[in-house]
Amino acid sequence: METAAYVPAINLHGILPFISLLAGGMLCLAADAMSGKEGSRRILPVISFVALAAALVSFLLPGYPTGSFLENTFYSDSFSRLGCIVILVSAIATTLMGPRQVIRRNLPSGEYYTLIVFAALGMVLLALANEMLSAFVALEIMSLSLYVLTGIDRRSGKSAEASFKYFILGAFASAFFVFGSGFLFGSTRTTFLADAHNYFATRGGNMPEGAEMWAFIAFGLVFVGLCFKLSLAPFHMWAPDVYEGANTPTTLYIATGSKVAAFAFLIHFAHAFSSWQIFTAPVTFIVGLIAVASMTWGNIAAIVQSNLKRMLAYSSVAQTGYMMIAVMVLVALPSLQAAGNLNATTIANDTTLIYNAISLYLAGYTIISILAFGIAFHIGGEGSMAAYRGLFHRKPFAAVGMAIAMFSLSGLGFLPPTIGFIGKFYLFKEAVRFNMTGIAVIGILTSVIAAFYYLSLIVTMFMKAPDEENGIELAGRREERIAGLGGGDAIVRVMLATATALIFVLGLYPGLFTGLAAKAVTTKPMTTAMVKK
Amino acid sequence: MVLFLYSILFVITVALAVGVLLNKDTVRSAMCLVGVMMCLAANYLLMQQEFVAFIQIVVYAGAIMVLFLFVIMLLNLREVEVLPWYLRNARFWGGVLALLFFFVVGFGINVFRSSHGIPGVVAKEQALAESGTPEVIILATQMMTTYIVPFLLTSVLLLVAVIGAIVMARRRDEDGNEIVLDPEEVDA
Repeated sequence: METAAYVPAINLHGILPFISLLAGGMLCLAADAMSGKEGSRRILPVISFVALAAALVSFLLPGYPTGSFLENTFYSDSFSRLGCIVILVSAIATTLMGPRQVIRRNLPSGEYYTLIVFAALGMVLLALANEMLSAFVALEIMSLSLYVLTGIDRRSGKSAEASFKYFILGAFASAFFVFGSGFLFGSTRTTFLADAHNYFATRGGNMPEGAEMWAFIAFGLVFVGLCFKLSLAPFHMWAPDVYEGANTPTTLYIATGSKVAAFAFLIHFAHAFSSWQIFTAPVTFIVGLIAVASMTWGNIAAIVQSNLKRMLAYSSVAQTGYMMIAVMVLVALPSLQAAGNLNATTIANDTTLIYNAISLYLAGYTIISILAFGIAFHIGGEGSMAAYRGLFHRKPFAAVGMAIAMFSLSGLGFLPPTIGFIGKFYLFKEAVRFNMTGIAVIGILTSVIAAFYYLSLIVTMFMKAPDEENGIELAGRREERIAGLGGGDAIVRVMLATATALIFVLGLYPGLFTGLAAKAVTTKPMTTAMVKK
Repeated sequence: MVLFLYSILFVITVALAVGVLLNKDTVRSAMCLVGVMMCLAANYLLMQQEFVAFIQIVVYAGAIMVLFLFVIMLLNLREVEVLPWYLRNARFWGGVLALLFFFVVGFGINVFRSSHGIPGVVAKEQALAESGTPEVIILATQMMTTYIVPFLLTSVLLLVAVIGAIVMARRRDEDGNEIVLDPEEVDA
C-alpha cells in the first residue's frame, strides 16, 4: 500500500515553549552528570531558570498563535495562554526556592531541578491540550514529576507518606480520566475535542439511544479525574497530607501550577460539550454543587487546623471552589443564549469576560500563594503554628508579609485593593450578572467564615508573646542552615518582595495582567466566525 | 452467541481480578493477573481486533508479567498478613460497591448494544469497509500521523518515570551516605 509522505503543519512559535522546557530539562540532566555535587548545585538553578524564563517570554511575545495548532492537538486562547504564564511564574518561584531547599535537606539537585522543569512542560501541555490522548500524557508527565518531587526528601517519613498517598490516589484519578476518554471516543468516535464539539453541535439532538448516556459517563469520569487534581471538595482528601508532607517549594508548585493546568484543561473539555443542548442543565447543577461543597467544607475544615500548611491546603480547596463559580457560569452560557437572553455577538464578549475573571483569580491565588508559602519556607519549622507565635516581635517583615497574604486570601483587603479582593469581586460580579445570585451569596458567606482563620493567624503573629523555647530553637536551627547558603536567602527575599508588590499593583491595575493576552483574543465560540491572521 | 461468550468472559475476568486483590500470596496474585490479561485478549479477539489481542498477550501476559514475577522472586515477598475483622469488612463493602459500579456500566453498555449491536464489531466492519486495509497498517498510520504528538510525548513521560524510579529506589545519597529516616523530623 502506498501513501503520500506525511508532513505535519508545525507552528514553530507555538511549540517554542515546549522546546525550551524539554531542552532545559535535558540540559539539567546532562549538566548534573558532568559536574560534581557542588557544581551542579550552582549551575542547575540557572539552567532551569533560563529554560522557564524562555518559555515564559515565548508566551508573552505578541506573535503566539491563537486557535488550533500542531495538528489540532493544542488550542491556544486568551485563557490558556494566561494560564501558561501563571504556571511558568509558579515554576520559576519554585526554582528560586530550590537552592535553599536542596542544601537544607541535602536533596539530589540534578533530579530536583529536572523534575521541576519537566513538570512545567507537562502543565503547559495540559493547559493547551485539546485532544484526550495528549491531555492524558501531559497530565501524567505533570503528575509523575510531582509525585517524585513530593517524596524526593528520602530522609523524611512524612514526605514519603505524602508521596505514596499522592501516588496511589493520583493513579486512581488518572484511571478515571482514561476511562472517561474511552467513553468519549465510544460515543463521539473521536479523541479531538474540536471534533467532539462539532459532533455535539450537529448530532447532539439526535444521538443514537444509549450514546447519550455514554457521553454523560465520559464527562462524569473525566470531570472526577480533574476534580481530584484540583482538590475539589469530595475529592480533596489527599490535599492536607500532601501539602504538609511535601517540601514547601513543591507544596507551592502543587497548589498553584498543577491546579492552573488542570483548570485550563477543564475549560477546554467543558467547551467540547457546550454545543450539546441537554448537557447544560445537569452539569451546571453538578458544578454548582461541587463549588458549594468545596467552599463550605474547605473553609470550615481550615478553622480547626493547627499546621499552617494544612490550613493553606483546606484554604486552597475553598479557593478552587470559588473558581468553580465561574466555570458554572461558563457552562450555563449556551442555555442562556438559547433562551434568548444573549445574542451571538455578546456571547464571545461574555466568554472573554469570564475567562478574564478566572485567569485573574488564578493569577491572584498564585501570587498570594507564592508569598504565603514563601514566608512559610523562609521561617522554616514545616508549618507548625508554634513558629508563628509573636512572629512580629522576632521578624517584623515576615509577619507583615504573611498578614498581607492572609488579608488578600480572605478577600478582605480592599483598601488599597489587593488582587485577592479584585479577583473575588470579578468572580462574584460575573455570577450576579447572569442571575446566579444564590451561589454568589454562598461565596460571600463562606468568605466571612474564612476570615476567621486568616485573621486568627494574624492575631497569633502580632498579639501573642513569642513562644520562647520553640522560637529560639527554630531561630537557632535556621541560622545554622543559613550559614552555608550563599545567595539563596537573598533571592528568596527578593522574590517575596516582588510578590508583595504584585499583589498591590495588580489589585490596582488588573488590566495589566489580563492585557497580556489581549493582543490575541479570539475566544472559542467564534471558531467558525473569524480566524485572525 | 457472542453475547454469551462476553458474559462468560466477564465473570471470569472479574473473578480473577478479585483474586488479584484478595490473594495473600503475591505469586498467586500475579498468576491471577496473567489470567486477567488473557481474558482481556480474548475480549479483543471477540471484537475482531486480532492485532491488539496478539500484542496484549505478547507484551502484558508475556513480558510485563515475567518482570513482575522476577521482582517478586527477587524480593521474596511471601509473607502472610492477618487483617483485623473491621478491615475485612471494609473490603467486603468495597467489593460490593465495585460490583455495583460494574453492573451500572454494564447496563449502560447493554442499552447501547441492544440498539446498535456490539460496538467493537461495528467499528471494525466500518473501518474495513471504508479503507480495505489491514488493521496493523491502520494502527501504525494513525500512530504516526493523527496521534504523532502524544506518541512523541510518551518519550518524555517514560524519561520522567525512569528518573522518578531512580530517585525513589536509591540507597545512598550523593555523598555516598546511606539514606535513613531522620528521627528529628518526625515531630518537626
